[in-house]
Amino acid sequence: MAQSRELRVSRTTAVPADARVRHFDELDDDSQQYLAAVESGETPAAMPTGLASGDVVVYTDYFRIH
Amino acid sequence: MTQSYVIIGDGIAGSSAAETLREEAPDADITVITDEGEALYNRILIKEFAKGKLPEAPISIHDESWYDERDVDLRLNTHVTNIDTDGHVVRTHEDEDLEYDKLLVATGGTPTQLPVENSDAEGVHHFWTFQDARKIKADAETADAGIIVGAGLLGIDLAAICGAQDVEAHYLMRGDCWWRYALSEAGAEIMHDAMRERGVTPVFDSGVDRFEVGDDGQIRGAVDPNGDYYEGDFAGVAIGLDFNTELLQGTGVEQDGGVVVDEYMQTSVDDVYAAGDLTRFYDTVLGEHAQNGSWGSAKEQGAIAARNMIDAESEPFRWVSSYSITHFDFPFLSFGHPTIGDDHAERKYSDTEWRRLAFKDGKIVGGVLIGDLSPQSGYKRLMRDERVVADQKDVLMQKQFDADELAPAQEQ
Repeated sequence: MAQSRELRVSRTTAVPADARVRHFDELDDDSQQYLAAVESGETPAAMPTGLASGDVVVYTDYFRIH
Repeated sequence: MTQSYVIIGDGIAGSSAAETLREEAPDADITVITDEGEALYNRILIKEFAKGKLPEAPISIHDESWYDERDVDLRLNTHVTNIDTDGHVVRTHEDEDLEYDKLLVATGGTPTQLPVENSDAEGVHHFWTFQDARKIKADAETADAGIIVGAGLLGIDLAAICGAQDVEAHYLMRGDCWWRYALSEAGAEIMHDAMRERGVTPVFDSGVDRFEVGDDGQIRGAVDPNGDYYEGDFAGVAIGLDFNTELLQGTGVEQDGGVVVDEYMQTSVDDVYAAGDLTRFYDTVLGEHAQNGSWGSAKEQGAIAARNMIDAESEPFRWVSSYSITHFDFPFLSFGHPTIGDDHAERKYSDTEWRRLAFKDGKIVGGVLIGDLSPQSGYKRLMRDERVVADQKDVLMQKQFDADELAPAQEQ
């Protein structure tokens, strides 16, 4: 899946109890656009600062930033 | 002199206001009152908990220590019984009087009850609070058949919960398609197909005439206005919200299907502000009063209200909201006010991709995107900029929408 210089996004089924889980609607526009692009199979250039390692985002699936 | 701020409601609007007040008024006295028994949780994730996909822990946003660390006085399980706007005093159910310099009302709403026989039976659920989600999850885990009522954005959450919990369900809708005020049948059919794939059968031109219950008081099924019977071990009802405005009785605060506020979130009564679902706010993008129940809008309204409580009329609310549905393997997003307008454009691109834009006076005022969200930023920007573009629907509806292909903006 999408990979930037330091972080990447992958689908996940396991959500750690201490994960920061956010719904897609909580993301800023840039982060929404980034995740939508990843979900549609694109590889956007840079991950927005609104997404951080350890985040799990609920979108069409559960996406983990790591 | 130290300012005193009282916030009624600890949803995202009230909590956002408390956080902003503490950041921008470090010495202020801040009290947050809520009738719920738990501090702020993520209301837009409780559906994931009810689906059985998320544990409880990540849904909590603030524990009580969050308020302690910020010197915010949080009062859980506390009901406001009176507001004296002349004396600037809030009275609680324990007859405690709390004085305020500025008051924020962010009490949200309560699900509207279905006005039919047995709507208060065991197993008939409304879906709003974390406690509601816990009860729905418990029932759904043991149910074989379910009934869903309310063909809108909250009702589809109940459909998804049934699908995720392997409950065969009938989704009883009054009209001829889901969310008929924003979608045409072409767009709605994509959603109907997704429901069917999950074992949820949409039933059109239906609804509930009455619920049938057993001797134990537990729901057994529903009869629709056509006389058809649908079996259900539980039912989920999501037909709207009644705003929690009882506490404003006698205050003189203007209401019109919600608490009327200006663009600074100030009500018609001095030093009383409101934020979140219950407001009828002046939308500076639309140029008229509007309502919105999205998480992002409520959070922003709370923050804006706080800034104006500190420094009156210092920052107007200007926001294009969005609301997405994340239950299916294709994305769905609505933005702005998709149910209003005097003109629209729509196009279907595939079995899972469809778009509709609503216009008013030639400007985009809202839209719905199914299957491909890539144009959303461009559309929202055009809405924020109040560009007249309704005469360029062909460009707007291109599959790969490019705002640069629009004719240059004219002087308005």
